[in-house]
Amino acid sequence: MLEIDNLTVAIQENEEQVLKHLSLTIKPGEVHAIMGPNGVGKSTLSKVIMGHPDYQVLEGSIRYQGQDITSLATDERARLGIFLLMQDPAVIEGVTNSECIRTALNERSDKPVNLYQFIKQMNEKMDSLHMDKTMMHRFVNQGFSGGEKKKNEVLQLSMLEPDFIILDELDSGLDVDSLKLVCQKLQDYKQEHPNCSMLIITHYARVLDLLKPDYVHQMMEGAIVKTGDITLAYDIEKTGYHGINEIRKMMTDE
Amino acid sequence: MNKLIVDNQLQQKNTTNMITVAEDSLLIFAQPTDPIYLLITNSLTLEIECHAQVTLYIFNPSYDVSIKVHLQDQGHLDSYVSLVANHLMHTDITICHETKKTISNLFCHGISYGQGDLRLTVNGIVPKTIAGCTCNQTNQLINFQDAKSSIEPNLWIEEYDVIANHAAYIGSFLKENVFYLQTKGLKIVTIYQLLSKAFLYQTSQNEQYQQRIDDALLKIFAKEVKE
Repeated sequence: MLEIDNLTVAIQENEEQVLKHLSLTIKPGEVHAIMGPNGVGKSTLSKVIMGHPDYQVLEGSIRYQGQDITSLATDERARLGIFLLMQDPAVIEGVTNSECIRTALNERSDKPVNLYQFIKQMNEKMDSLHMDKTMMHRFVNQGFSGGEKKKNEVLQLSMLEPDFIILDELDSGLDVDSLKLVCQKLQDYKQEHPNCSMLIITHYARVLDLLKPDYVHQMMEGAIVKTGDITLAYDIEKTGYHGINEIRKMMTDE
Repeated sequence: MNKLIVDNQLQQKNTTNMITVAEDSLLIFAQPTDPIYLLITNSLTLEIECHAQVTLYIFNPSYDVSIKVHLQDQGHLDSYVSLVANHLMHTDITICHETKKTISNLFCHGISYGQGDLRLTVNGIVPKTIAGCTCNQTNQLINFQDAKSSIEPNLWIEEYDVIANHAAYIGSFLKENVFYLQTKGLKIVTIYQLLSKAFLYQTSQNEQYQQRIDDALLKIFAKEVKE
């Protein structure tokens, strides 16, 4: 599904390297999680996968479903089926939610979306996410609480039906009940689309308890330094990143 | 120069409810009217005499235009000007307060795209002894692709007892907004169209105005914006 090979990335502006020889392979249907302290490049990785113009790839490649997407524009990657659920989604004054989603659907198809079907589908999805229907006609994320923004992203995701989902700190800004609801919707989506893969970027194991990753990776200084199962997340939560690195160092020394 | 007295009767006769101006003209607003919608279809000079409270919407899809407003008697003009440019285009607007206690509020929103070079000059003039006036102007221009633009905002106030404000802004669409919409799969051209519409709609919440923005500016714009 997604193969990142030896990826080295720098910030366009100052050429500072933020990802260093990072490799990661995610197979269809797999759920991977990345954990790491602030500033190690987790969110950068999610933006680089999406082709954010602030970053330049110095070395390595990103392949998605067998196709090299390293030089593709962000919108082309999205139309191939990659969806980024942002940590802090942008507010877009003047563009309504329904306009945004309908335009996104139209961009994926030769025929314009049937308006009746679209509204019906939106209503159903909004009901299942316990979202107020008026949010359909409100400007994208304007005046939304942190939780509403995340639900809105999940709404978009369920309408656009991607094959690969990046969840960048899904749990930030969500209360316990909303997090459970959103994770349940993501699980439901995963059941309906068994080949859909996910990359979860998080600081906390609680979101991983709900989304059940197959692999957990620890990132440090722009690279993946350790891979394990969910127990790695529990260990990190117990001992902290410093602690787990100390243990790792002791084990290596022995 | 054509001379036209604009009142509600004239507006009712006009089935499109939009006055099209193709030559140099003098428009006279002698009494309060419903909002007036003005579409510029040629390079020209426009003189406006405003004696009453009027809301005026002007649409200029890329012509060189010079507009001079004379505020007299009970003159109170709220003007909303929408501009779209894909080549060198001058728009000069001068508001002359010629009677005490006249009011002008001017809102200009413009988009410069492709090879556009939008040059906007806005003057507000309040001479000595013309006291108690309000003279406000807000100008915002957005550039994208290879386009550029400039604003020269001037307030010539010779009287102490006047309220006058101006704001001017030139910029581009926020990069984070463009990226966000791209992550949803929207092509860059579509994003420019959506954000341009949103930007021009911000000038006024008037639904008829927004409909006219679609008809007068955005359809032309949609055809011409290229990747």
